[in-house]
Amino acid sequence: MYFLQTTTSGVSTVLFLGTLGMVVLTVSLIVFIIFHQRKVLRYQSRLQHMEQEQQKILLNASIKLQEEERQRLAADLHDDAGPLLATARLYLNENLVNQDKATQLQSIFQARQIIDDTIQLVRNISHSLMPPTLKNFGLESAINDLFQKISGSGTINASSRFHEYKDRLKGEKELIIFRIVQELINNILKHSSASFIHLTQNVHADKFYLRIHHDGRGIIQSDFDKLNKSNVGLGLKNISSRLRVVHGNINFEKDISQTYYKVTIELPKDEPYQ
Amino acid sequence: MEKSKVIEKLFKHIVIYSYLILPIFYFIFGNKKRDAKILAIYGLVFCLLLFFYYDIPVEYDRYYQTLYTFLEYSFFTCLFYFNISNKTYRKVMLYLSFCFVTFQIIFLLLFDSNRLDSVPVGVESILVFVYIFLFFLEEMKYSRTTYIYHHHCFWISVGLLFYLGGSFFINILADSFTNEEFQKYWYLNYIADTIKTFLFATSFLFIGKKSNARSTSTVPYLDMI
Repeated sequence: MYFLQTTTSGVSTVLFLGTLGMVVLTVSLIVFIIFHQRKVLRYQSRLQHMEQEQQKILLNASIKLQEEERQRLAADLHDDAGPLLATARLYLNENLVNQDKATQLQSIFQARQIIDDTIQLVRNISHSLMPPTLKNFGLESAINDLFQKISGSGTINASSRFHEYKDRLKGEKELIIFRIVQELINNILKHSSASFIHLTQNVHADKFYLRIHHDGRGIIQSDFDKLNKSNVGLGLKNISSRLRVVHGNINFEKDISQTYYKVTIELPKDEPYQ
Repeated sequence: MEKSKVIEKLFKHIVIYSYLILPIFYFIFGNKKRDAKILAIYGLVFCLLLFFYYDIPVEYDRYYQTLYTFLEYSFFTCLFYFNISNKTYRKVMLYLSFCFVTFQIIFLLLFDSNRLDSVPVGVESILVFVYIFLFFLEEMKYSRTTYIYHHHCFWISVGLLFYLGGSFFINILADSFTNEEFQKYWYLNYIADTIKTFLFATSFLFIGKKSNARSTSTVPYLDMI
């Protein structure tokens, strides 16, 4: 090279080696940045793909659950309300005017009874869709109400305690938490054979906590994650989806004493309910 | 005329007129973004500065060099200042720029330089290296959906790395060379300068293209009832 052939002094060597070093460093830096970024982008794209898959599973679970709910509603209306109303109609047929007064009164009384039953049935359906206690009195009352009803059945001892819930969460957040609790309780009742369920609530450092304890068969976090990624466990996927909406977390664990399971829900506390 | 003189003249003209590629690209691409304007003005200003360099009397050479270094530093810093969004980094850049200008003034008033204002040029190079590093650091910190070479500032950074890297030692050692040696090795600066200008011109292809789009996650509709 021209520079090498003519270099005589030490300064020239320093210049040549220094410049060469700088250029090599520059090229190395650029190559490193490009390769590093490509690696990061590939990793991100893989993560994004996995997240999309997960969301697809969650969406399918939500749709399936929605369809199941609709089917349940349709069945309730068709199998219970339909026959009741048809029976009431039978009592109130055209021949009623031709019958004697006592029979007329008897028929009207029977029809009224049936209509009352139908009203109760519709109310129950309506309550199952949106508990009025939750809407009117908040999460604490709704959960206490739910636990009292469960305990009232006599098969399981259910209790709940709210330690700090003076400032209610927003309505939509309360509904989501209530649905999650309902789903968890439903799972415990269905699968765990527990003899007690206890729920506690507390607030700590801008976080809202709910913890459910039960002494039956339960799952731990790894089971939950596994079920969440599989095609089974629609209810758990629904819990995950709902928690995403409120930016919350859920943790399934077994107590250190190994005697009961704990499910902890954690979500950011928002402004007080207006 | 000596062969080496002819080559030197040729290199000099390539360097001077290559700067014009920046305003030309500005008009060709019709890109009215801030960085495109900065690059176009930079090209025009430096083309004129180099063109009239040999007409400047020797007694004003020091002032010319100080102005040259100051303008170069200002243009490079501007480009990075507007492309770095981290407020702390930007504050650091402002603070360092203030220090640099103060240092340049002190150096001009108190010290004498023979050929080049080597020390301010060295400091300028180090500072611009720091800004390039901050830019890359910020780019690597955030998750982008496009490759870094789709960002126009990447090409500016690469150009500057080559330019500053290639001319760093010759600027620093300028006063240690004999006239002959200096003339001989000054080609390095010309080469680095030309590479930088062409890489700056490449950045015009990417100015205005969105590279900051970050991935967003969607949550499916869940409230069934």
